[in-house]
Amino acid sequence: MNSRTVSKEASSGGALPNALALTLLLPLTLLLAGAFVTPILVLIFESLFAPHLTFEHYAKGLTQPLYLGVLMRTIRTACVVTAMCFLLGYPVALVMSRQKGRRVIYLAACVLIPLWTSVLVRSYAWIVLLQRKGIVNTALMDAGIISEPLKLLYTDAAVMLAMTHVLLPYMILPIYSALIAIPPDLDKAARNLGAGPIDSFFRVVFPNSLPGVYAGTIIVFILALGFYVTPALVGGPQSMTIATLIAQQTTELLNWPFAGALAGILLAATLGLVSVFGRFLRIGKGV
Amino acid sequence: MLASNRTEGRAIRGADLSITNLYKRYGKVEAVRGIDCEIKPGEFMSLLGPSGSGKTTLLMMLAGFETATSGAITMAGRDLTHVPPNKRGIGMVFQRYALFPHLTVAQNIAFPLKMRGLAKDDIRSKVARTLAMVRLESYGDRLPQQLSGGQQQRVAVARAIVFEPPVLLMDEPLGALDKKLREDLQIEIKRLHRDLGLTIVYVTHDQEEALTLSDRIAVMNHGRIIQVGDPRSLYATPQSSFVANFLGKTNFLPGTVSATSEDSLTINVQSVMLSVPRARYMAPGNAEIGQAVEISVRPENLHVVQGGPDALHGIVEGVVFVGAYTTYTVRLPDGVRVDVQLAGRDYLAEGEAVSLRLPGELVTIFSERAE
Repeated sequence: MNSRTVSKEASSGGALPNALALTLLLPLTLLLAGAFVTPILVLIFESLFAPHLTFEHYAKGLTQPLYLGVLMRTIRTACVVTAMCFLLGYPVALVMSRQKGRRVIYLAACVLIPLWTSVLVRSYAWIVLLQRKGIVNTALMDAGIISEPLKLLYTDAAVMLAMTHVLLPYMILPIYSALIAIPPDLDKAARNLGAGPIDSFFRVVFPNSLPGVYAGTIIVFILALGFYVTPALVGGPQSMTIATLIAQQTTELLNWPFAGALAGILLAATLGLVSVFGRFLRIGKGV
Repeated sequence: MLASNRTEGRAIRGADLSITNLYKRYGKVEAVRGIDCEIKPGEFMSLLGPSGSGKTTLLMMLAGFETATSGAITMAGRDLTHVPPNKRGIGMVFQRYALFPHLTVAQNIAFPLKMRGLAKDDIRSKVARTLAMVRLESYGDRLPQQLSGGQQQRVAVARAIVFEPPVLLMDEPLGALDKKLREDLQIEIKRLHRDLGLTIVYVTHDQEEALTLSDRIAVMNHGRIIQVGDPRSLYATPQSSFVANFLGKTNFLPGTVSATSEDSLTINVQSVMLSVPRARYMAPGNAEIGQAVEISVRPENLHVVQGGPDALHGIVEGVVFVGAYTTYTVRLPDGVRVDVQLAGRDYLAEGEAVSLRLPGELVTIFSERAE
């Protein structure tokens, strides 16, 4: 009884009346329904009924080694990119969280400016760097380290490198906000209780930053799974990902039912992997 | 080595702390300037002062979170000045508890034991014993955020004493709690101090708390220790107007020295000639005839009298009933207001004329009043 009255009072203070809430949500709901949900449903419908109910396209996507290979490569690329973003991003977030005043702003700018730059520009920048007569090859040859230009561009490694660069801010920012939310007293308490700086980090700071790590991991992983621009520009035919494959099916081969099936597979894979992550997230929160 | 010795189950004994000529500068700001202090084994020493007085900086240097610019800290003869915090073996309780939110209560308390590499069984029994000491036996499996503020602070205390440190630092540990809880925990802290016999350095800006808990109090201001003493002598014999005003309440009355003798001074206060023992004269230099002084008198030391030549006459301007006593604000003819604390039931009314007696042996004389 008591708790009910309390929650009622609380809700009258914070929540909006239902009618107003619906009105505010309506424009976005309509936009999403029209521009996002409908096309997806149409696409998936086409992949299943062409013209009769068939799983032929899904079977093709999941059994033919060529397409299965693309799917696997996509997942592998997303995993590697996520891992690299974490390994490179966590130290940056940690340093950012330990700075004071103006230096935080400078560091944040370094992290954010790439985010504000077009993905296209950043991907072309990697082409300039990695191509046969690009900056990296020229520098290596001038230094006498190699005699022949290396094949750097249009490789899996190039795709992973460029995607890591593009997606890094999405990892740094959630980790940073998790780190600054940790009271500095926790680290002090750990030190006082006998932990050295390294013990204190791994036993106290890092476990408490895990919500940020999970958030960053999920964002980067989902974005990496469906990433199109960078693999299309920096990757070669051997490093095709599911997004570039879908694009090829729709724009070049006009095979909409198969593209729809691939999109459905990608969607299912994404949801499946995210729910696995979600389970980790709950464990991390100790619930 | 020290830690392994201590685990063999000998009784916890406090260690002495010695602070010598300690300075801390941040750029051009001097947070702590020249502190000398000897804290005896097993003593409860409070550092009392307003915010910015350097008391927290001093505590942080004792814990090792801040490095001294110059000077030295030694504990039981061991120089701690440049020892990192994790090697000091000093316990600490933070104002905001600083419990690890991802660990249970029992895991929090086990943390310092784990860091010292104790065996699992040993850890389990020590944790259970310490939980019992703070009366949280059944809370070991809870997470800190599932406990109330008072319970969390008791866990923090348990975590700070479980590894049997010779010295415990407490940084305004009750500051975040409400009054009733604060009083309960004060009693518990006192009990733990008595039972464990450890040395406690307790930072607070709450003078009542300092008076209640401490064996001795160091009153700090502007990065220095102004006066050290046991609560009663500090309260009765403040050596500066700052201490008189900060520790308890006091009234300041302007006066002039009108006669001096070997062991007493005669002060003209509000045209009343007040004889004060020389020992109550705290102003610098020798008292000169005609010198302006400030008389400090506690509200409870002023008494209502039936009139007479050596009484102050005034009008009651305000009445605050507190329960056990009543505080009256009395306006004297020249506009000076004094607070008078009376315990009796003969209540005075606003606007009533009243005569007050100044007890010459209980006042203190300063050269200036504290802001």
